[in-house]
Amino acid sequence: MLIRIKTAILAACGVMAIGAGSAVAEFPERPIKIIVPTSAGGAMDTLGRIVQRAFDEKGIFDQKVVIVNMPGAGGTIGTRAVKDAEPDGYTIGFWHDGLVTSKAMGVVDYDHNAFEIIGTTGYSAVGMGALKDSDLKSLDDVIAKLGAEPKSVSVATNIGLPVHFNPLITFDMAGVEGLMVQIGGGSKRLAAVLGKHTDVAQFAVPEFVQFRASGLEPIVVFSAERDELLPDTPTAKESGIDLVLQSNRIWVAPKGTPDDVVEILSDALNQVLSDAKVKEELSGLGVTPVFISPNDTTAMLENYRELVSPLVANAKSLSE
Amino acid sequence: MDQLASALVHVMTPVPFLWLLLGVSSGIFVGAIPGLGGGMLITLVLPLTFTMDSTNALIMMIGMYVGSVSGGLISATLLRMPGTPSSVVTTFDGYPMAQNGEPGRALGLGIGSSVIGGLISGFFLVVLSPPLSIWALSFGPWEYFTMIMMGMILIASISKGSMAKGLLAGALGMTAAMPGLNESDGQLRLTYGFTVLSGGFNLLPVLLGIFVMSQILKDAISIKNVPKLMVSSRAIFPSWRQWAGHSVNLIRSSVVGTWIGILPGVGASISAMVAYGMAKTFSRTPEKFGTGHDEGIIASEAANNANVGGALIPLVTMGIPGSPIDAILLGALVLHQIQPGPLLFATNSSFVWALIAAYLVANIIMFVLMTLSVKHLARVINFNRAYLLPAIFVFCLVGAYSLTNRMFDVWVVLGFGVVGFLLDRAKVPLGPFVIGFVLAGPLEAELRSGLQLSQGSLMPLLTRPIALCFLAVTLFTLIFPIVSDQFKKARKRNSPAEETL
Repeated sequence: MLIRIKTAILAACGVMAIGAGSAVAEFPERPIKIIVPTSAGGAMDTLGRIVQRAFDEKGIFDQKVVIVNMPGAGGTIGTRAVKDAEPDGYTIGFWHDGLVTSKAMGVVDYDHNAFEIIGTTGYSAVGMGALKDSDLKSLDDVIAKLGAEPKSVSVATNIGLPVHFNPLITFDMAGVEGLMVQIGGGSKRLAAVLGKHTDVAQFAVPEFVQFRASGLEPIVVFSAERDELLPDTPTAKESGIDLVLQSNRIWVAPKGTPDDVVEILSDALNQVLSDAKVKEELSGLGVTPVFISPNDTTAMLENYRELVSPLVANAKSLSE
Repeated sequence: MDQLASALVHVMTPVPFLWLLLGVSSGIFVGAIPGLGGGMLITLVLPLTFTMDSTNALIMMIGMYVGSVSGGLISATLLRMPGTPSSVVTTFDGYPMAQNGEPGRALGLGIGSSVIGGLISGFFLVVLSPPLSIWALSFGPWEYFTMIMMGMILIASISKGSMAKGLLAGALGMTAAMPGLNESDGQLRLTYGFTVLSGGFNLLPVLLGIFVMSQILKDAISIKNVPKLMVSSRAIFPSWRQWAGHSVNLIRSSVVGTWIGILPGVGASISAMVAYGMAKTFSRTPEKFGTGHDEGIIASEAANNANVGGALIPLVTMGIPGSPIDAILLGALVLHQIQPGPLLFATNSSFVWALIAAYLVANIIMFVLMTLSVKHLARVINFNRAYLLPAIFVFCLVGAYSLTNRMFDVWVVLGFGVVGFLLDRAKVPLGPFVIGFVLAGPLEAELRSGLQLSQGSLMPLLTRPIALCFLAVTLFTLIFPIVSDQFKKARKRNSPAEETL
């Protein structure tokens, strides 16, 4: 019903736009490019391809939707390409909360405010995990150990990205200091924990479900409530750390893209996300398939920026 | 074993077999063309496979993976243009052998070593997957660092031609690896404010520039007087006795390739480099490496094919990709609604066995297809370059562009093409350049990770046994030639009579 009303409003907008001689009369008139800031393969790229396929199969647009991979420099080559693209809605992209941290680290001079936010196509609940036979069984254990001896717990990170900042935020709130070690991407972090090279690392909840059989044990989740996939794992709040974090899949368009075009795109994503097959595929990818509106997305990112900003000097000091 | 047998039977039934055959042949084709590769092919066909049966789709992709790694040797041998990054090392000896009038033999050695390397790593995949993937976890930053350093020193220690020029090339290669976002401290380095440089120079465009574009320039300049080589138009396979003589090298290179394949984040080009370095070190005739030596081709090709099987080991046992192409395969699994991970073997065992069987059969198909086509392929060496070079030029630029969809990478190919051409003119070897370029990044990153872990202490080099072993081999390789020289001199002084013999 809601969608139908929106379509009606959009149609009205469209009519007005024609009157005003705007280019968005019948958006889209040509193929839409989705810029993926990673190489082919991997969770981000796969998410883009699931959405692209849904667009095509469901015929949401009359036009083709294509995936363009632009990997490199922690995703900033791709996000910069979106930022600098023509603001007409034909070039869009998506990324995660690294949109905020890349600016904080000084790698780029823009964050989410340099874009029009289209919305969020789901998120992964995240938590920290340790090896099953480690003596670190909970966040309390980690904080107690670090309280007794600073830097006595090592954390596998990928510097400057949320997997690095989230443990930093946690430890900062607990008033302790962990040993941050640059390890790299997800599979290297997993190997570092399983191989006992580092003590803990952040993973997404579905990764815990997937790799529990290999000995990866979740010790805390950063959700508001216990995750239904991991009912035995306490939240950070239960350890007295009032912190809720998640890894979002944020869709953006260049600044200045017309509002009605952004709304068409936003509705299209919302429609895709309500499809049962897409929901199932995203779940298989470790993403909770919930559409989050542009306004709520912006609020989340602002909140995250406030958490990250005070820790930038600390994050940059990660060094031998 | 029953499951493997039934999976092999399944793969040999007409429909899966045809998909596999299609995969391997298209893989060989893109592998042989510089600029195009297996990753690109699999990404392109992925959307086309959505309507296919998921097992058949993955079987075809495995075929493409095996084919593309193998096809690279053709252009590397005949044109000194590596078709894929993993066949860079094959140019060191394959091309000189072809130029010495034996292209059939060079291809035969490469194809034979590829299938043997592929099957040896297939053996590990079938028999030892679980323990190997657990053992691989014991490799941390210090082990990676010392292993890569060992590879670097092994190749550098016995340098062909001028030692100074080899070191210069290596240093230049390492310099080219420096710009961009430094993964050890999260900061931009040496980008001079140019945002296009924030990702640094990518491997593929640099390799295409240094090896392929420079060779195109070189060939274009001397296009009128390319010598006609008298080639025998058959694959010339060494006799069984000769293969037996190479068995140690074959097994060692395959084991090295398999092992490096298992480690996440270390590519097939590195496994060929390490295997080549080890072959050179253990060879009785190290001075022949780089002049068209059997052992060099064998080491490179056995290792890069073994790398494919090795990289599948963590994929099937733990759901961890061992290489970029495996990451694409992992994404394909998700798109085909198969949940990868450690439970895959338990929940979908017949599917996993079908993949393993497909890998084994793909190696055989690759061998047959390439052997049959060598007769025609070897003629490429005398093909009119005026037709060949423009086509390769276009593929190089298209391949580089499609990697990140930016013009920047096209300029990188052209720029490094000029650099490679000038270096070659100045008789500076290109091999050490590429080795320096490929190994500098992981070498630095792993050392700094290790130092972050030990809070600045170098002690883990001595306290971690595997790291200590690698370090010992490295030091031995550095010191041994000096000591043995001294020893020989001393012996000559003691028995002057021997000199007359």
